[in-house]
Amino acid sequence: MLQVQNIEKYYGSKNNVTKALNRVSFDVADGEFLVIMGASGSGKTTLLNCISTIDTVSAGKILMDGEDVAGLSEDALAKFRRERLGFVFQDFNLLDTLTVEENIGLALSLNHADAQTVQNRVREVAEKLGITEILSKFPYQVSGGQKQRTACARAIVAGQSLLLADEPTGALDSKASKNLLEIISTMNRDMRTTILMVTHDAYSASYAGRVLFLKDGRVFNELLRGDRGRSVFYHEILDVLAALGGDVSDVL
Amino acid sequence: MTYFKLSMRNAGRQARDYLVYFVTMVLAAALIFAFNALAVSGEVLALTEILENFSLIIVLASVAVVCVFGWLAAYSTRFMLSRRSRELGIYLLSGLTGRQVARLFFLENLAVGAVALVLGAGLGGLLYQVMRAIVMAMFAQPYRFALEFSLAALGRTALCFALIYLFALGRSRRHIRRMKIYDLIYFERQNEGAILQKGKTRRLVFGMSLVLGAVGTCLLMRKSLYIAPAGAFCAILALFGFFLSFASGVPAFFERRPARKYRGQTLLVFRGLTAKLASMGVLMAVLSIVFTATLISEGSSSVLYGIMKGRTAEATCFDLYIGIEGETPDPGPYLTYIGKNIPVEQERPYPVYLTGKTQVQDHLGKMYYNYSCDSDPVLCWSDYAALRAIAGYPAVEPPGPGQFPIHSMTYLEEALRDYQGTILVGETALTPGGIYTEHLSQSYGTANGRGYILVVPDQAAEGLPVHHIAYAAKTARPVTTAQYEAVADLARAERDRQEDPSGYVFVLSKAYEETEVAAQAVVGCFPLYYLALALMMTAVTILTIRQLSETEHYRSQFALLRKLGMDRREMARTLGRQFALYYTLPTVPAVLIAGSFIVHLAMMPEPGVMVGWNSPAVIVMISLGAFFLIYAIYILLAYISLKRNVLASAR
Amino acid sequence: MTFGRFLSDRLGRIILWLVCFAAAVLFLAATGTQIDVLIILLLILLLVFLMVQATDYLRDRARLRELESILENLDKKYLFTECVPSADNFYKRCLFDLMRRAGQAMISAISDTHAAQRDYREYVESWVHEIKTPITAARLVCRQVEGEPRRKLDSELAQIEAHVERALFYARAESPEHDCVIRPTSLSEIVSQTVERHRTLLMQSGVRIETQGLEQQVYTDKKWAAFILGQLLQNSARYRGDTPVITISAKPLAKQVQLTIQDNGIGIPAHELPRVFDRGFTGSNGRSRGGATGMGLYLCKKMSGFLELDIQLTSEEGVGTCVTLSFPAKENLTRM
Repeated sequence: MLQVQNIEKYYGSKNNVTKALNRVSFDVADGEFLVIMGASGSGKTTLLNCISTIDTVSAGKILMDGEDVAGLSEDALAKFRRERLGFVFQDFNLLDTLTVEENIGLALSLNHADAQTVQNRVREVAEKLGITEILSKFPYQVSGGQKQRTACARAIVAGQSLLLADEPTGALDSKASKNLLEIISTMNRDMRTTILMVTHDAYSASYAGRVLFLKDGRVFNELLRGDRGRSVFYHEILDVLAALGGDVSDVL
Repeated sequence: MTYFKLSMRNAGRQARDYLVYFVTMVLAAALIFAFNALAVSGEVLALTEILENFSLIIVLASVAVVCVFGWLAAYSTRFMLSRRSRELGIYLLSGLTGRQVARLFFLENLAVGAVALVLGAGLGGLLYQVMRAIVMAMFAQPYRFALEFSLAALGRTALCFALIYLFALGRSRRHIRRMKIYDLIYFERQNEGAILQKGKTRRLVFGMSLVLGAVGTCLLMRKSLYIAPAGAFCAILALFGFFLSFASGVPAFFERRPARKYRGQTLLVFRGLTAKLASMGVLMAVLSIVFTATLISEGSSSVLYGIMKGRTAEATCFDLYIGIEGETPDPGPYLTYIGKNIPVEQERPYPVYLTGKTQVQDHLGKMYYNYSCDSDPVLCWSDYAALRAIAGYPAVEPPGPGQFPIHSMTYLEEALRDYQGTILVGETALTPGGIYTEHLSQSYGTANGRGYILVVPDQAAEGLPVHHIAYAAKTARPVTTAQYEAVADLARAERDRQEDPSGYVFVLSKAYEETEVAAQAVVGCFPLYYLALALMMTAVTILTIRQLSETEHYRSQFALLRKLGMDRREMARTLGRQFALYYTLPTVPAVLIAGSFIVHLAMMPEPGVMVGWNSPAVIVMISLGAFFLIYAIYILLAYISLKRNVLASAR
Repeated sequence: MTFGRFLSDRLGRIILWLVCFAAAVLFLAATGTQIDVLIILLLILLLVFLMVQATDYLRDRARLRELESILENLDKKYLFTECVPSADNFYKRCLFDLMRRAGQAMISAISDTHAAQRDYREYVESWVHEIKTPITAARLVCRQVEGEPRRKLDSELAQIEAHVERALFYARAESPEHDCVIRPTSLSEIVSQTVERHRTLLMQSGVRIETQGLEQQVYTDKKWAAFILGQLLQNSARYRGDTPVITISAKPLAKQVQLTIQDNGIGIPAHELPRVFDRGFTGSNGRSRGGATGMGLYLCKKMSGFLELDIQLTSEEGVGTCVTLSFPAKENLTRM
């Protein structure tokens, strides 16, 4: 579904240039749950921005279903984003002037769906994610976990096929984190949504089917979960992190 | 880093961040300077005596303007303070005392004000030249370009500015001194705190305010002078209610109509507007009232000018006109004086007769209340033709046998066209034949009939009773004020001489009328425009400052929308709509209230004055047009700047 | 960008506007407007016009300066478009977008080339590693042989090792920054290490080494410096005269230490001197003596460049060749 080929990304200002990504390549298959792990500064948010077409790469190709996104026009990209991509960020996910229901419905109304469809689908998705009670509340009135669930709802309500999550549990406490990760897993399992999550937290990463380790803009290791249980996988991830000399983040 | 250096740096930054406010203060200085320069200009005051009061009126207007701009400065300064509270907190943390911080802020604003004053004075000088040219043209005087700079005006402007800034800073100084570090660092953005708390109350108030607004508008539309204020009162009440309850009323409306909500950009626009209005309900209402005041000021000025122009348009078709009433009207003394002192190209003394009957008058009386002469006034044809020549109108065909053309003011044309009846003039029976409506001095009893006059063949006019003797002339050069005064003195002397001064001698001079109108326009209309401009600039600047200070918030909002896949075009459209609604909302009540006020005002003078270019409809159009033109410029500039900063750049 | 240049760019437009103003004013004058009024009008128009041009000029100049300084400060100048702030109008954005895409292609190409190079170097390094085993094995076998064959085999094996070493250094020469460590080193250490390494060759060639005043501290990378010196020694050995003597001396100058390698070999013809450092240049000597690849001096020059050594070569045919290397004695290396 997604092929990343030798992408590089440079950031520059007046006085210095940083190489954020250094020839990163990997593939993501349909329905896969992939996590990209790395410390802050390892380039993972940059990678996510490039994949979601918010930012452009300096070199290399990104292919979505075989089509090179660099060749698309601005309008085509906007269309692509609202039809096929769903986003969950760590902060500033929701528009604070809209209610929860409207926030979820926003994704659909951007696709010019009619009001009836919007309402039905929003209600459907809200039920699946267990946020039906807060539909008429405003974001500042609900908890962090509920906000993230709203964001997840928004990310799939329009039938988007790829969910991009950037540190979704970053601002949540452990219970809410667990909930959210369970929900994401369910989305991946039951609704066959492809999930690409970026995190520095090994616990979140253990929910994935495959983990890529990013350091200094380069992929230096890859772990496959296979049939193993989550806690076994979690320990293996910790081992890889330790082998790095512990200078990759703070766990949990 | 001395205070001075820090203040200067902050001043530069303030000018850049709040450019709209800075530009408005420059324009304010320009405005105050230009009008005051006009008021102290010796050249202008020498034009006519009537302008002696001009200086005083401008001073009064300046006082009002200083209050208005003072409010703007106070509001903006307080707003800037609240946005920079974190920075001030850091100053306090670094060890500066409250007094020192206040002094810093004071110096900074002083610097900005001084620069605004200097720039404004320069611009004002240019503006003054423009206005001087216009005034000279109004008085038909030649305009000589001279690069003069009035120090007196500069002094006055500096004084005004000092008052404005001292007022604004005085309030903020107290505010700063009392601030505690904790409050500053954790200061939440200031909002008014909803006055109406309960959602239900709000919705009720919203509905009621809409109803009240409709009622008020209807009342305002009625052409009665007594009901209109009641309507205005309802409208103002409705205004406050509307803006205060907007934040709850509108969402309630949309809740029941989800289909409307999700169409296009409606969702984002209305939610954005609601959020904004939740914190500035009272301010919006106040601004609406300010706009109303602006439009009323501007409209009254236009109406005033229209009335003056309308009245004199009728009266100024002849260079010199004298109407002599009385038992034995005698044009002799006047003719002697004129013969000696006033070079004349064409002249004609002639009698204005009466039919003794009120046939046409009765016909008109059904539609117009017309305190005319006792009966229909009459002119004989040869006199009429001569009058046309004197006034410079093209000659017309003499009437056919047995026909009488009517010459009337435009507003009577419709009614008179219907008149078919035959009238009896003396012995002759005549039928109506043709109407002419050029200006022929028909607004006074001792002129060419009041509103209309019948033109009959010379023979038919013989023997008719004479109402008054008239004299019309076209002079070689415009009649000077001295000459006019001399003739008027003659008239007064003549009247005093009579035992029973029943007669009324009436002297009209085109040049004098025009001078009077110009003077009255300058004295009456200019100050009103001055005030209107000040009010408008203040209101728009406050609106724009609030809008532009939300740039960061907009930017993050549109960044999110871009990530969710919104089209660039749609984003521009959303922003545009939000903008349009935000700026249009306060003007709607203003237009309604002020519009009806202007229309009423314009309908007050006697009929026949407000016609053509002066008709109420046209005046309202022009007033609204001028207002929205300046408004649109501000809005456009704000929109362009916001759009550039907020919408993410294309790839 | 000077104001003059700016104006000349817009000359056509400016003239058109001024002509329009003039025409309007003339028209108004001809139809009765007072001259003085027209003066005001003209004044205002010109003022506004001038302000617009001035702000445009200042803005464009500031932006141009910004872009120039960005380019100045960039090491890898092809990353220019990644570093510029986005433009404020549509036209400029489109232009920058085109440039960015071109830059993207270039960065891709460069990156691919670097990757290929890295792969090749890694291959060579692993190859060198692998080849050492059979050479060592051959050496061991050599020990079991006696007499003339043994000497001949030894010298051939030594030559194979020299070639292998040269191949390794050539592979690393393209991006030595990975391998280069500047430390204060003693010249005598470098010299003695190199001489020891090439002992077989020197003995077989009958070369006598004389050293003088080598107790100097220099700042350089010991391994690379030894390689350069080794190449020079090999050359002197190959192009030797009858009683070959190589004199290695050091002389301290202000901030440098000069190392001189003087031999009394056959020398280099004058017309070939300018070309000795060219890649693959063997010259008449190389042809006559055989076994030259033309790479030795080329690599020396390259390495010297990286280590910031100054390398000078003088020679007289029939008398000898003298090579001088200037090492930094204090830490004033600017780039590494």
